[in-house]
Amino acid sequence: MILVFFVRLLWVLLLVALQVLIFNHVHFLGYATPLVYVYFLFLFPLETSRNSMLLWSFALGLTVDVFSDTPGVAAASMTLSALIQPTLLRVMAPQDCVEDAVLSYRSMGTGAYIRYVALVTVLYHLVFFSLEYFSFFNGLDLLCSMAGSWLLTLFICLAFERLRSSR
Amino acid sequence: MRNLLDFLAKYNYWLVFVLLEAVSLFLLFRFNAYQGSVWFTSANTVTGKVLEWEAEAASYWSLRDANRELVRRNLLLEQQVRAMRTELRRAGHDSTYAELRQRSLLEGAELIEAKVITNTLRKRDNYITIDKGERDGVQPEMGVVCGTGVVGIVYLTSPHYSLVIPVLNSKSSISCRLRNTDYFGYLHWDGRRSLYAVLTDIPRHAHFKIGDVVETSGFSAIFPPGIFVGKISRILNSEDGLSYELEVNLSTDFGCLRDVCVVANPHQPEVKELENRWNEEKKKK
Repeated sequence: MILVFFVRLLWVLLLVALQVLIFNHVHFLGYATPLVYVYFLFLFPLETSRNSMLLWSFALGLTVDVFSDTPGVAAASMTLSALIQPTLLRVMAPQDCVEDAVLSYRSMGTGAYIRYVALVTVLYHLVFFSLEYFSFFNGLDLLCSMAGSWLLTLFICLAFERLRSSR
Repeated sequence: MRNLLDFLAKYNYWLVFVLLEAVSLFLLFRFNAYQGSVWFTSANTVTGKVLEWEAEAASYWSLRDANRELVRRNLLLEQQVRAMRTELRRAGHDSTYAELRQRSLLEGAELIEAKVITNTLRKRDNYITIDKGERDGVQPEMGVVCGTGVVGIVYLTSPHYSLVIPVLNSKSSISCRLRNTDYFGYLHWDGRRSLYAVLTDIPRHAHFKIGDVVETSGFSAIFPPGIFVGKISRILNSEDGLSYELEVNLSTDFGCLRDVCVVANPHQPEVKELENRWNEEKKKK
């Protein structure tokens, strides 16, 4: 139990450091900034309690907010995604899956896994960008940066997963 | 009752969710009004320290460029000093008026040098964090300038760091005037390019042309009057057609901002107090 706690804490620190020190400085073509900390959502096993998932995601979002001056934006979107992720997973996970397994390419099948990650990340980006650009709306710009950031994030999350599950 | 308890036990995560969302949205919408919120920005001590290390590491990479720039500036200043000296010798003692004026402009303002530790360009509301805070004499609502022009206004301060709202923020509004004609307006940012801002509220009867200089007006006592802001690059009509909107090519390049100065105006509390009294009078009526 304590081990799980520390492993999660380490993940939070690692993802925040990656996001703040490296990925916040990426502005591909002036639009796309990958939000890699979303990868945190894919680290929870199927049967995690929903409360702990919400609290962890909120904490991660808030930390990212504090470092990148977007008060409440990442926290709100992380919390919402953490609410929806288990439901999505329950629909998309294969029937014969072990209850406490963390899902990966292997346990889900590559195509299904990519679909699942894409769905969660696109949801996250929709919420995040709608909140951040709340005050003044500029349709095409918003769509461009949303789609660009989403593609980059998806790519990086899938790469992370490959690294992690190939060990 | 039993059913209700069962229901709550099963779905208590909804409560947690609603609570957390409420906290996030509170932060999102109250960030402006809530002064204590400096703890939730990059100006608090822990984040400030981490980002300062990062900025230090980053400044190593740009040392060579900085050095070249410094040498160039040094040469330029050397030349200027030489020119000034000859000018001064020629002018002799007749220059007292100019000297007096210059001295009185500088007397009013004390400059606090600071380094930028975080800076963004791409967001809709950009913020800058600098490494000087209350301990160094920085107060909210002080102006921030750099070598080439206006940067922004201090918004929140912690003991060692401050958060600055630069021109590139939708909340920024700086009182500016056209040099020589004294027509004034407010400088806003439209959220698009980091090199351009918009000067609004210029009356229809004002005379100006593309390339005219825009400078601070000094009305709010945040900036001393006459600090360079930029040049007019395009002339547009405002939406209601009652005034001009001028696109201003900013003289400050926010993309490579590192050394800035906070302008501490000792008369600002007096001006502020006057404004407060005026507001109270209005409330009484």
